[in-house]
Amino acid sequence: MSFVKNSIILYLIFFALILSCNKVNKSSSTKTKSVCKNDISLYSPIKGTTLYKDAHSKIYLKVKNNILDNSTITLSECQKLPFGFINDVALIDDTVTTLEEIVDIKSFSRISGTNHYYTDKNRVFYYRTAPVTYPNFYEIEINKTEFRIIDSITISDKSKVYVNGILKI
Amino acid sequence: METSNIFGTYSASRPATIDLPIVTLECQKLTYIPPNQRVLLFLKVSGSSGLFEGKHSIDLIASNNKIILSTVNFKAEKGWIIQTHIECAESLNGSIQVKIDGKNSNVINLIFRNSTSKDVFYEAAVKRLLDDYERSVIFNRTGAVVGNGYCITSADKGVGALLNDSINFYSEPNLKSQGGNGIRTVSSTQRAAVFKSLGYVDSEITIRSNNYNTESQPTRLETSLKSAIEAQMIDKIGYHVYYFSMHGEYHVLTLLINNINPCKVTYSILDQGYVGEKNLDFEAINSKFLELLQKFWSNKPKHAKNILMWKIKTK
Repeated sequence: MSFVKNSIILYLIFFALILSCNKVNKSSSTKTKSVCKNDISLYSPIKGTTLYKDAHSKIYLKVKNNILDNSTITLSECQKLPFGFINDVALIDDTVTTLEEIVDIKSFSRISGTNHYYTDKNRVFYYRTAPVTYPNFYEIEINKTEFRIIDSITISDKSKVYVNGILKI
Repeated sequence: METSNIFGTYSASRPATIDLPIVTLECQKLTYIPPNQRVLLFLKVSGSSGLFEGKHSIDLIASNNKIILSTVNFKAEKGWIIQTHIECAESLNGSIQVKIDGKNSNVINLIFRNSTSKDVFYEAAVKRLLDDYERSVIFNRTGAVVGNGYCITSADKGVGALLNDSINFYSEPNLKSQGGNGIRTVSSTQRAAVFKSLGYVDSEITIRSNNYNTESQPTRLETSLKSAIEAQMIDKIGYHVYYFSMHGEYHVLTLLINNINPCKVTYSILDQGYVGEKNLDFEAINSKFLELLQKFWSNKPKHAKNILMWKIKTK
């Protein structure tokens, strides 16, 4: 009887050890796995192909990863991925905030006929690839209801002209 | 082996008396040494190697126990250059007594002090800059920032780390809602204007390449970047830092110049991992910058035309 009891105890200890080892291996492998923050599998679309959200309901603008245009650079695995996800946005008063704070998802869309101009019911935005700026998605000061599309890179209202998202004076 | 003439008989041997050499600083521009910096000292043994003279025993004896020499005994011939690291824990006027073959030779006087100029930095500040850029390189590889966009914020927070100012430079996290300072970095010229208004800019340099008014590939810098920087470093021993942009502000970077040894100046170009040139010979800085302009010209031919630099200083 005592032999059986000891065997059970030993078996339980052995089983507990295996479990704890598995736990350690699992957590260490999780730690070493690198996560690409521009991996599309981390996001789900909420507005066609433009707006996405992550697991924390943060909103992102999906854009082409333009770094791929420059072939002279040695890229990391993440940098080789085809898209980028932008969460930060600058407002006209230079405030930096996030898309979920200010964008009206329902009315948000790229302005047809332009390359990187976007609008929602409250604002007009531009996504700038170059020259470099931060945030590279920002509000531009143009009349929301009166602007005209001149060409794919230029929009204007009665007093202002933006070319590639930069105000021309 | 003997030879004789009418005056007597002679045999070859080491000369009875030898003029002892002296040992001096090889770099005459090294007029002072910053304290708490490990500096590689090049010392010249005077004269030229004699056929029979052989090596001398050279001992270096510091005048103060605050002055630490990594090597103090040498066997060297006349004309040789010997090297030792030197470091002094505080500002002082000191010297090195040179002994040759056990006899006192000359004394090398040394002044240990910092530059009085605010545009000269030392190791602790430079380490903060380099460490910050190292973090930027790692972060950039995660794909968190689209394209090349991380350069302007890397440079901003790098300069902030150098100056120990976390209030006025881009921070991470940046958003105020996350505890950051919410700084927007519109362009390098806009940021440089802010740095200037804060008292952090000493001077500016603008260099154009020779294609400024054409669409041709650049083949030379219109004026020398090296000369422009040299003019700003005269008698300023230490590190020099420039916040700069290239290609019509398409790329923003930091230039770090190591002028601890004014006779052997080196430089590093820091960015978020795309250029990353480290400890290059300053003598060839013009050709390196031309190479960068040409490299970029192949992608953005309309913009690889100018270099804008702002020399950073403390307030």
